Amino acid sequence: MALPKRIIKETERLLADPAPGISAIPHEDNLRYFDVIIEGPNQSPFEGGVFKLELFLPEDYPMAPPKVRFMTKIYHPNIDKLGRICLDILKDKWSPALQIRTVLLSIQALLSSPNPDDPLANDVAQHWKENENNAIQTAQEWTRKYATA
Amino acid sequence: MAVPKHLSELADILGSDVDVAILEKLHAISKGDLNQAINHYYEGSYINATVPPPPPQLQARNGSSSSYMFGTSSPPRTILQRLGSPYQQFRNTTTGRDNTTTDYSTSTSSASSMNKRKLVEAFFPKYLGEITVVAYALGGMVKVQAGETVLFERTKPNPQLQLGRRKKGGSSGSSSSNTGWGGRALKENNVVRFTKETGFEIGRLPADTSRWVAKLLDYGLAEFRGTIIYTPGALSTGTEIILSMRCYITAAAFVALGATSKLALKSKASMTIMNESLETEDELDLKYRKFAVNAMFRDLALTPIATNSSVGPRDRNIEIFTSTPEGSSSQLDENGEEKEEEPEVSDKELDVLYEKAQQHGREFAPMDPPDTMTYTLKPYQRTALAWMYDKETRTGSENQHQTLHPLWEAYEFQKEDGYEPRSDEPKRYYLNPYSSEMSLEFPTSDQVCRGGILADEMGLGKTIEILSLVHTNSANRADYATHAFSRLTTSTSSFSSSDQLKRTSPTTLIVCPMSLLSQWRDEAINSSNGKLSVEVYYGGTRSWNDEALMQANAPDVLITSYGTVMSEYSTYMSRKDGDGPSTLDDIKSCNNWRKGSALFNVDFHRVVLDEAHQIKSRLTKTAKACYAINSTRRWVVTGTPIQNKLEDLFSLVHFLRAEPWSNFSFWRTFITIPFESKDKDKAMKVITSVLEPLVLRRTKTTKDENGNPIVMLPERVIEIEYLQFSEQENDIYQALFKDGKTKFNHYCRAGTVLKHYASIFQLLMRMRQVCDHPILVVGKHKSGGANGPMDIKDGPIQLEELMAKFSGEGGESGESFGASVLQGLMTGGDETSECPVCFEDMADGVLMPCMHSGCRSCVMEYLQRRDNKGEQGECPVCRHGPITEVDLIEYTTTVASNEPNKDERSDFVAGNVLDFENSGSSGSSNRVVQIRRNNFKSSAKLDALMRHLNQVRKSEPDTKSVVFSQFTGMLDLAEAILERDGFQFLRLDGTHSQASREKTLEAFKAQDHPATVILISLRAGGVGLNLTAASRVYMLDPWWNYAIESQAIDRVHRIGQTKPVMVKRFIIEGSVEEKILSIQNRKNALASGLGMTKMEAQGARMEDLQEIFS
Repeated sequence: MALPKRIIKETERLLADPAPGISAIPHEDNLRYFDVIIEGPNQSPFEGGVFKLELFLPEDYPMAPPKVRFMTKIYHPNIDKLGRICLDILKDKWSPALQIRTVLLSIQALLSSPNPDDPLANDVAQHWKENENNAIQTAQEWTRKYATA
Repeated sequence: MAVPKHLSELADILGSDVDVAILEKLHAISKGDLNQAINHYYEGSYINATVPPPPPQLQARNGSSSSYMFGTSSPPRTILQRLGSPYQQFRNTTTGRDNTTTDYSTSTSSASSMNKRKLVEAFFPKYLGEITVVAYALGGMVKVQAGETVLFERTKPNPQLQLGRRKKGGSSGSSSSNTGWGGRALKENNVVRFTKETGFEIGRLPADTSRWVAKLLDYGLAEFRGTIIYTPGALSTGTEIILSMRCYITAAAFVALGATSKLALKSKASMTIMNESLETEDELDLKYRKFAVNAMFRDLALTPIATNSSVGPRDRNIEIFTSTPEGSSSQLDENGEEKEEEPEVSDKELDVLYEKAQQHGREFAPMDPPDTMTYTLKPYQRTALAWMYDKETRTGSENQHQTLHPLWEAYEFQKEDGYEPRSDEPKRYYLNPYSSEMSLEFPTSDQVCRGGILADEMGLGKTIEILSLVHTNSANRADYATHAFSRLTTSTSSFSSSDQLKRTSPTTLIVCPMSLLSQWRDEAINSSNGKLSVEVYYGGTRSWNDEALMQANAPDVLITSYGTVMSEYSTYMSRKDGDGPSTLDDIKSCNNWRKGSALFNVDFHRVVLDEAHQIKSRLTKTAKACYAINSTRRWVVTGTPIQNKLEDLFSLVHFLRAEPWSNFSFWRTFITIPFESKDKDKAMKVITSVLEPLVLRRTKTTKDENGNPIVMLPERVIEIEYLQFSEQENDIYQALFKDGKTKFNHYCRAGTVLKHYASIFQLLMRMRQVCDHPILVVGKHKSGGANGPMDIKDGPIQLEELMAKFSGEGGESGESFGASVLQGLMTGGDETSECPVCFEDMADGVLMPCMHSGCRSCVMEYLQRRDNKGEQGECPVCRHGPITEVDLIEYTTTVASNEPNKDERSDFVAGNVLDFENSGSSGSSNRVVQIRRNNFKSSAKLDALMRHLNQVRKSEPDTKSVVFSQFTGMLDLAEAILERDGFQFLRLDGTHSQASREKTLEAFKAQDHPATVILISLRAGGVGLNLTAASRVYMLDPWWNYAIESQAIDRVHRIGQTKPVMVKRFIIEGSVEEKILSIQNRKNALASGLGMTKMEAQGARMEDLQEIFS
């Protein structure tokens, strides 16, 4: 099936005008499949880290949200061991007016402000709630350990 | 044995085994009193009773029987005065004519008719011939011997019974009266008795003789004198008596009968009830008369000394008598009742018919119209002009004047024994066996039809051809007033004749359907650069009266509609009615009837019927009205002279007064009856020979002498586009279909399909409507949103309303955003042009209440998805919600290429509400933004239509399109969706007055008019319209008969079309429409030719229905 014009346009714009700290490059053999790199935001436990993600645009995109997963291990209450992300716009709050860029910016923002009240990784969230400083320390360690090249 | 009518009541009471002779006697001795007769019978007193011989004179007066005594002092006039009520009409006609200076032959000048009349009266009754008859005696009471003279006596038909029969015929259609020839023939009183000179009854004539003798006596056309040649001494009932009968023709037989229509005219004048069947009663009389006269000629073994060879020898026994009472039952109702069953003419047969007419015209050298005609004619049009000019101007050669009229036969009077004819007595007489008219004067075939049938296929420019004829052969205004037109016809026009001056007009009268009035007027004016004076005679503009039309400054061309002709004819007829019952006065006050009727009071220079198949049914008022128009030059213009029956053609020929074929019984004898029977080939041959001199027909594919097509039209591509229902539509359709199928199967099983045609067709209709748009069937209330019932017309919203909404709820930011969006729409800023969902340019954008916008389809898909998940709709951009479909505001941005006057445009953009115009920009590209509330649900058909129209608008903005549908409801919907997408359009359907039709067509034609689409209802647009301004055609729905669609398409693809024509026919896959297509493709499809009307009336064939519901 031919690639919708929207995907082509989005890709072009992502390449031509990338968002700061974010890059997304489609696979040559599958233009719906993107290799994504998000830099850990400043003043966050993930500062200095470079996180790899994979992003896939399903058949009914943009009516359905893209599927996004962290490839790099990350210690975050809303991201589980498998890299799955708990983010409303990737689920029920998805809107076709959102784009790859906005999704990735949202994920970047999620890194800045973890939300342990809506956890995906329960143990991490628990840790975050009980001892936030200790949890942030762990996150920084994981970032150094897994997210630095 | 046949029981005479006057005895039938008696026979019913006494039983059928009682001998007729006894009944007769009972009747006689009781003087017709039923009770007495019964008493006599049971008392036995009748046996010895003697029949009282009533004096003959008393008999003649008492009306129950009358005698005809040849050789007595009673002159023929008394016979004419013998009035029997059933025959009153006929009698009135003849007496009326007899008392005025009416022709005794077909072509007598009024000057000589007085002398002739005297001669005629002295001359008649005239001996025609003698036959020998084997009669039978009624009883033994009378003694006769050979050599004795006998008188012939008619028993009058019982007036009351006859009247009853009439009434019945009048109320329930004439068919019941016609059965008199068939099932009730036995009761028909045709008994002729012969008596001694003293009045004693001897016996009766045998049935086959008495049948015609009775009629001749009834009509007073002949008298008979008998001599007994042989009789056995003793007479008993049934004894054979051999008689010699001498037949004498009376003056009445030589009274010009006139055509059927004239007789009808007379009878209508004095009959209080006017309906169709009355005329057929008169036709019935004519038929009786025709039969009787012909039978007499046959039995007398009279043979014509001359006939017109062009018709060929006539086998009277076969051809005339096939339409007589003795014919088979299928011929019983000659008077039109059979019409419905008349086999239709297949396409193949039509091709054969036209073939010759298409050859025709090649032998004429093309002719140029005079300089007054500004149009340049195409070669084939010049040929047509030459042909028409020739038809109009060809004066019969001398030789032709000497030719016997094709309908007539010449006879010589036979010598009667013992009578020496005076030298000045006529020696020959002439008979028209088809009308039973007789004449002493030589009927010439002078009555050449000056005119014909111009049957070029639609689009070849018949209008221009006719106009070129008007230019070429115009009336000489200097002498038209004094010019005595020779009478061209014997029949219909003759009621304007006799002592009355010819009222000639230099005007050409053109009768056309209302929708074509303006087209004719415009063409006539344009063709002449104003040199022709053209007037329309229609509605309130009927400013011409008969006097004005006879002035030298009368218009060259007067255009009127069929409706006008018909209504004026009705007035004209009713005025005549008001003149009272006296027939003599009727004739004399002829002028009064005619006074004031501009159309019927004048002999036009020429009369042209456009789209003349409108008069194909000869019994319609319109047809009769057209027949009554007088003109020397008569033309009919039609692309389809035969729509489906040969009799369609008869009406045209009758209008043309093209002898002999304009005579209905002649037509039936030679064409209809052979065609109905096995003898199709013969009928086809005859009809070809009828058409050949009368018809000129060329088609688009006709080749000129060089083998090139005479017209080069641009290419035409017709494509069927199969569409799929949306899910919702399909649900509705399937529900309807299942319902229909169940019902149909139920009717099938019950065998009541025929009874339920109406409801079956309603089902079919609904199914077809759903294919267009479910709302046509489901009604307007199901698809409404929160705002209540959906009203497709309520799309437009007010700017104030919109602004108020924003200032009310949104706060500053909202307001400014809304304003900026509107601003953006106006300026055409880039942001608004891309849909946030699909990133495409928004061709059909919607605004959400938050003033975010998106493609209609994207937004709708999103809302639908949310709905499927049970979520409320919201703006995909800002999540403002809840939003439903009705909250969406449609807007369309178009770049207007022209800059029409704003006022003018607003006339045509019906329902256009928000009209933003950026007048700041250069003007050549005005940005027009239209906003309307989106509460309109489209359909598969409409979406497809809009897809095409939008595409065409983008790629070829100047291209105009025609959209046809047979449902005006569908046109309403199309209007709504066209408005939504900012199309400027026009509409034409049956509800439009003539004036607005004209304006609409004019506007569509105009190059600078902004409308690019015209919506036309298939039925309104089928005839005559010229839509060559368009080059795209969209058929929203198929018609049962493809010919109707094809005709509609030809309105675009006709002469004058310069671009290739693209036709799209939208068909929903797997629906009833597909089945209609296959029915269309079948030969002899249901409703061939007539479409739905026929179908509704008579019913489609079962297999078609079964196919549809399979």
